[in-house]
Amino acid sequence: MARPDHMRFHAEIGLPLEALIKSGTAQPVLAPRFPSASGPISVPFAPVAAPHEGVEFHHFWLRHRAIAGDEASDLFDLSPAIALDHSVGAGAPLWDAVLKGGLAFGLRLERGRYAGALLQLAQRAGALVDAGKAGDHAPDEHGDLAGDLVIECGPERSGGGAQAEAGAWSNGRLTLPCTLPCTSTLPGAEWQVCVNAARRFVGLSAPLANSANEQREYTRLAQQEAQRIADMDALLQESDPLASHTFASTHPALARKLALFAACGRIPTEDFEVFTPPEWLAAMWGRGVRPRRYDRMANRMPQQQLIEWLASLKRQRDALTRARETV
Amino acid sequence: MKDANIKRIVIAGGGTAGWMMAAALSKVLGAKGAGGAGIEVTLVESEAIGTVGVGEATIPAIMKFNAQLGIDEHEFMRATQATYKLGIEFRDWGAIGESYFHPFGRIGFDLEGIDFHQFWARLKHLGDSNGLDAYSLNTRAAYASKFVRPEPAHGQVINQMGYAFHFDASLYAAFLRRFAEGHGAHRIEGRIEHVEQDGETGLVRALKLDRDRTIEGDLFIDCTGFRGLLIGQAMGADYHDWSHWLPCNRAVAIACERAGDPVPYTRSTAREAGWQWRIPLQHRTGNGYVYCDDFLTPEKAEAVLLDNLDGAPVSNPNHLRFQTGHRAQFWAGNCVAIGLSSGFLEPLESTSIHLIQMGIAKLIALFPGTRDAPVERAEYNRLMEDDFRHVRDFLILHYKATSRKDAPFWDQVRMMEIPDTLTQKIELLRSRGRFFKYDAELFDLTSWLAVAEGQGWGPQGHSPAADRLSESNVRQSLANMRSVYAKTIDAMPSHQAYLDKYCKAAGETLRADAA
Repeated sequence: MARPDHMRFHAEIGLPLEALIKSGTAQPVLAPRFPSASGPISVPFAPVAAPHEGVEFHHFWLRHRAIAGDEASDLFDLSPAIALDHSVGAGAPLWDAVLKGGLAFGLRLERGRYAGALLQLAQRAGALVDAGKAGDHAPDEHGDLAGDLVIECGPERSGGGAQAEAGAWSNGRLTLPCTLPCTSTLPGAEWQVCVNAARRFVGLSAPLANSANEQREYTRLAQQEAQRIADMDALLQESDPLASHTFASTHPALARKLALFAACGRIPTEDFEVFTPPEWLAAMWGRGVRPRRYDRMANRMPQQQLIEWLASLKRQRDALTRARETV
Repeated sequence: MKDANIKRIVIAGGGTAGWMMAAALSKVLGAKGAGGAGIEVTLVESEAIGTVGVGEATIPAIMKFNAQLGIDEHEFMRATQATYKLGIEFRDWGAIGESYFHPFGRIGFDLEGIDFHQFWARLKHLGDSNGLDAYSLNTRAAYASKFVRPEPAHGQVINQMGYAFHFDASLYAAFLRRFAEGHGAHRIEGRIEHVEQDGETGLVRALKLDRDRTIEGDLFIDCTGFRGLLIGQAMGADYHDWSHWLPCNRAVAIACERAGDPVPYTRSTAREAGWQWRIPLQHRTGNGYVYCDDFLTPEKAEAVLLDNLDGAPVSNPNHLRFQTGHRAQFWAGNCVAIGLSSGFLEPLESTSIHLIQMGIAKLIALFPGTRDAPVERAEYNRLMEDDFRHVRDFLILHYKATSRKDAPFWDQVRMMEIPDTLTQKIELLRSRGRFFKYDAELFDLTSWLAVAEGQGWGPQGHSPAADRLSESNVRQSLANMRSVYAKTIDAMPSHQAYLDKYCKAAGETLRADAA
């Protein structure tokens, strides 16, 4: 699966979205299901609703729940992305609603076709893709390809320990962290780390004999990114994320995230986050983490306005649900 | 002490920090605010105690603060004798006789998704003599003493500009005082004699003032300046000393008559044991000498400053002592330190007011529900320490990247060990112009590049990606940029003309004209 960054990446390499969808290579997805210890969680790419005067929507929802009690809809019951997910395929009537609404969406990829499309692009750009015909680049007696730099993308690695697992560039080898176990289970993570690694390498490309600084920086960035992915995986897989004290030492940034969210509903972001605040919100919410209070700034909205806003969102969500059911 | 909701905020100390905080809190959380969050904001200050006036020069981020408060820019400029600021000129920093400009806003236009400076570096190493200044609208406008405020309709060239302000700090505090009081903040004139703390929790309960008055509160903001009356003396927050990296520990400040029209930039001139600032305002020019007293006496510093003024002095010299660094805890218990009480970084890049602004924004974002809020407090402290550290590293670059060998002070800073993170950053930038922002750091590629290049530590190579375009194509593209910038500068009004038309600090007639 490709994350919403596909729009930028495919524009960068010249792969039109429309062609991907029409050829059946890609299918839009708005709220992938993340596996977790408490069952799958729908994690929409888009926020449930836009912030108001700098205050995230969930604070208003929390205030509304304090007013309406059990009569309030669940926060994610109001999510248009969840309402529309699985209903926005190529040519589907609700596709326009996604585009007009500016909802962030990813792509569920047909792996073989997608790889084929990328292969064609690479070949057109001059890449040699068949080792058997690559002359100087033919494998040696150990099966290794000769080259100034080897980029390891597959699951079979030549070692390197924890650093290589997280992604590193050293000694003529650049490893992608896409084979970390959690990148294959978290939707879109594998695709995103590959894209980020490619961009990072392009941004840091340097003569191989004189690239120690660039290699260090690449490795630093890749490892931080891997930590953020591992944080999300730990949140999802820990049997009781709030009761666990292990995060403080093993995942300190996640521990901070959980503590702050539980205390006041804020979601701090770290450097090199792969997942956005709306995704962290959905994941924490899905794992049963709830803020003890909402942002006081949410009180600035008059109560009647708040009630009308929430009612309007519910009407919009119901309309989308009805439209989905009639498609 | 019952851990009740925050209903009363007490700000100890006025000045820039105190009144910025009072203005923001009264606007956002005060009883008169939208929706009436209903928090009582009280500021205690004493006219008998002077203010330092932490900064008179700002960076573009202040625009966000003004916008959040809904401040009209021209009205604010008239009220504070302000001028526009397009960047900072650094003289004698890399070597005596050399100068460079650190502009706000962008430098050049990227080509085919590749950073502009990579193409510029490529040509530079092929012998092209055009410096970064040739591609900075801010720099060219500053040296031509031109200004126009960027508006969306002006197109992408003018909108590359970034700007900030120079203003009179005492007038700024007065302007914000009117704003805050207009939004319901209360001011109490009085001298703080004692900080009353809860015997069990150590939380601050009240300020005891002269004439036997007591001001109770739930959350206390320490804006008492270097004294740190609440955060240091009462709460006992330690101080992290960074003077081994930034050894200047004194300053002498003086205002002088303006000489000619004010230029739209700050000037920083390196001196024997530190540096001198010059900040042009509408009615006067602010000056100061920041120095290290291991290498210079206060008397000598004052004499050097007086010898290097544009006009006759209009105030007495004001000598200050400081220690570079920050509180180990910016927020301790129910007390948050803002401004000089929280820490100090010399105003070489005009970050004093910005750090106040960051403290205010973070406090509002993490505003506690109760007096004791350990999680919010920990996050606030972590983020503020990051902000201070990022600014510190950028300041260190100015001292480390020098070839001056004319004075012991410069030998010391040139030879000093610097933080590892800064070493890696500088090496990446020097090798091929690579730059990655850490966390939410303030200064971006333009700033780091301008200072590093200006002091002789610029990129020694370029990214291979910049070789994608032919040399002739790159030369033509960059020549076109220079031409566009030159035409744009020609069409701009002078800085003084712009001030006269919209922001002149005078009577009601001009205010009406501006409207």
